[in-house]
Amino acid sequence: MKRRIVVAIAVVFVFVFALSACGSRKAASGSPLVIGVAGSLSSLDVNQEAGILNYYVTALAQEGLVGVNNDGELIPTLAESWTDEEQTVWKFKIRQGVTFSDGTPLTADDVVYSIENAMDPTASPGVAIYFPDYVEKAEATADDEVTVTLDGPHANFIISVSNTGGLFVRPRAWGESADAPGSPQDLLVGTGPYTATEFEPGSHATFTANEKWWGGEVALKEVRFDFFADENTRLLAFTQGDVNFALNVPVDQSEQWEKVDGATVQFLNDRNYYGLTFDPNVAPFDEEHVRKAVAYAIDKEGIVNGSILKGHGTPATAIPAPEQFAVAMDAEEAAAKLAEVTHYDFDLSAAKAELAQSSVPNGFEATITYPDSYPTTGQASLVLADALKDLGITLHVKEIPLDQWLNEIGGGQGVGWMIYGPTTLEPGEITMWLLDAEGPGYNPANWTNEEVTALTMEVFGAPDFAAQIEPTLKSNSIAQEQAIYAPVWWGQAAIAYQGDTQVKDYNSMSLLGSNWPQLFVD
Amino acid sequence: MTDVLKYICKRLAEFIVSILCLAFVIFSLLYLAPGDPARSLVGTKQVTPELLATIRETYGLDDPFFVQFGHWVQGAVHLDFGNSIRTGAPVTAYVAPHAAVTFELVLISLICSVVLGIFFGVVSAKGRGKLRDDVIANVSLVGTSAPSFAVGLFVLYVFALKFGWFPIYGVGEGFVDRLWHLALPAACLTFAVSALLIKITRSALIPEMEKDYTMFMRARSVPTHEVQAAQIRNASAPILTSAGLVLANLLGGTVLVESVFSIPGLGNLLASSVTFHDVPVVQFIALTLAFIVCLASAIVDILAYIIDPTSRRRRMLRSRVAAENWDDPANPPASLPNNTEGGVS
Repeated sequence: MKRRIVVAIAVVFVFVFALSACGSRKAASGSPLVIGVAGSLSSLDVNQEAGILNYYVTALAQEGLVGVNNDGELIPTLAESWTDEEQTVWKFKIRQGVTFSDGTPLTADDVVYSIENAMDPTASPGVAIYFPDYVEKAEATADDEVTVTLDGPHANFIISVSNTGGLFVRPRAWGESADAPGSPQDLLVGTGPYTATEFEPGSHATFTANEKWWGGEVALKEVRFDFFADENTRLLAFTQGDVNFALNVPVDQSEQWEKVDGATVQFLNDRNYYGLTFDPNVAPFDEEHVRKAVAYAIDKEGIVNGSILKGHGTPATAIPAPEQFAVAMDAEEAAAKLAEVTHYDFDLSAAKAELAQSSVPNGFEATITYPDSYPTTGQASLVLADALKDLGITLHVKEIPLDQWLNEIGGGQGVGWMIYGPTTLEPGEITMWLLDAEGPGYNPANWTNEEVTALTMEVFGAPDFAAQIEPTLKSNSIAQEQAIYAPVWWGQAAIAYQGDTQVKDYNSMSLLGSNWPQLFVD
Repeated sequence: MTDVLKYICKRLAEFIVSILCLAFVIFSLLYLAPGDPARSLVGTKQVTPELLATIRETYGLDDPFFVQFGHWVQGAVHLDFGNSIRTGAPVTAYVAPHAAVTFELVLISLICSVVLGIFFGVVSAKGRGKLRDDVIANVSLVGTSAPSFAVGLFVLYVFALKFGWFPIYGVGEGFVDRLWHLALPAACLTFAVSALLIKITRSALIPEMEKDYTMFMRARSVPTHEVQAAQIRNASAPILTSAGLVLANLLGGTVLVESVFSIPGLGNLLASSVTFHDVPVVQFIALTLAFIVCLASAIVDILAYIIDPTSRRRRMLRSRVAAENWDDPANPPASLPNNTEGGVS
């Protein structure tokens, strides 16, 4: 019996070694740049699924009429040049000699189709909501020219035809024949520096160099995104060297990532906004004193520099992060301007004084929910609830699924979290929504303010991005004077890389740039 | 119609009713769950109520519950399970590659679980009261009680990272590479569910070892392996029936194991689709899993009926008595045996 067991164990070991010898490690197949991603993509088509990761991935294979460089500045891509007549009639000269990855040539008609497709909410639920509804028509006015007519002057329209604005040019024939563009069965077709060659949701997406790219030679032959459902497994894969580069390393795990031999973990401000929204139509938050009392009770410094964010964030004084003003000033100057916006630093005495002037001086009960995929907002809510106890306010903190939380935004909660990650460098991107103060339904606070509405229109109609800054600052001040929004922190993201993989000049716009894998080449 | 055929028809009818009930329950639960798939599609960005309404209309999300369920059943009858809300792709095409990986994983695990479970169950029964029986019982206890994600991370750390024998994640390409990639996840699943089979095999086998036929076979110097084969054959009904349970446990276990090993299978897809509220996908996966478990359960019941002579004899007598107008279940006729212990078959 014993001998048989020994033989059985020996057989198992031989089998294991045979498998080890025959199997191929993922990282050994060539030397691709392997990017470890937490979570997965369901579709490579941004028109269908428009998370920030989709924008990064799709930027490899599809391009807009314009693109951005590593600093977020607009650069010509599929449109060689453009003109605008009074910012209403925009003419784009389409680059000639460009071919899609399926071998068909790029035509003006493909561009028209791509614009119309992006505006169709049924075909493109991911981007139709952002694509401007002021576009009256798009037409091919010459073989190499597309004319887009707007309903009036819109200086910022140009950003809408960039990949960061949500335009990804695709061939009409492919778009109309594909059952599910961007799925494994209908891999992306585009003009970008890379071609989507494999996509297995939950596993990986592989892009190989497009030798015929109009922009010239592509430095890396292959870029692969490996998807991980479990953060611990991603760390093990990074430790093993199977993954060269990782996005969104969790803050609470960053020390373990730093311990990996030869690893570099780099934190950078990602311009994400995290803050509280108060609905002035819901008691007791219909009283300014109550809103201010809660705003004063937020220990922003403690949340950012304590055990929750461990210093990986910045206490926010307004809604847009300083880096959002990069088109006109550096982050330091922007931070100084944003610090002048009315805001409330942690002060429990001031909070008590405000609450004493309200109709609920002895406190009240309220509930705040946070999405399960953003645990730091839950921890920050508990810190706030603890501080509010001193004021007699009982704040119930409740975790809910992300989609439920999304569904509840603007749904009449007295107090709630707002988390927003801008995809463009437009200074007014976030505030054009949060401070669109025309009333219920227009902003998540369901707030009305004529002066702010006028300022928002000024932001919309600004002749250039820099001109958005002043009205943005003013409208922020008015909203925060009334404590409609209580900004808590501006986020940071961490990336990790190791070994031979190095990243140059990485910033929050880097992976949106045209041919961004170039950053990984010396 | 033979008794066996009658039994198969009855079991299939039960199977169809179970699937219909499950379809309704799963659909109801998803309908009642908080959240809105249309909102999940657009994220936190600004969206006008008109656009949201268009998206909701596209997927029929505003229809009343029974209209939505009716549409789903109508489609399902024609094998059209709708489109994924998240990707727009037909559900069957979207789920099929994930299903293939999971079925491979479950098949490997099932084979390993059955082989190891029965082997160690026999070893444990033969050595009852001895050290090896205690060791097997304790290891089984660890297998059933340790969370599979913890076991997964442990084996990943030891066998993939430290020893480098196995890959950390992924599914590989080609038969051998696929087998290599699925070895650790299959081992985790096997470790968790084979304990059940060990326990059942042991419990079923010990009474057989004490029965008269065992003693007579030994007295007649029948070779040991023949004696053991007879014992196992006679103990096979509960073991076989429990295989259906093992399959259900294996399918349930894939959710965590696939997550730890980054396997793009049904479990992983189910978890992410639930988070996203992708109702057509969740409905299809849940029903597919339910279908497999119910089908496996029906098949093992039928096999057990065919294999187990006592069960068959008992049912035959029951039906004969029923034919003789026995209609008082509280007072069975004396001809109906209550002792179901069998002999050599």
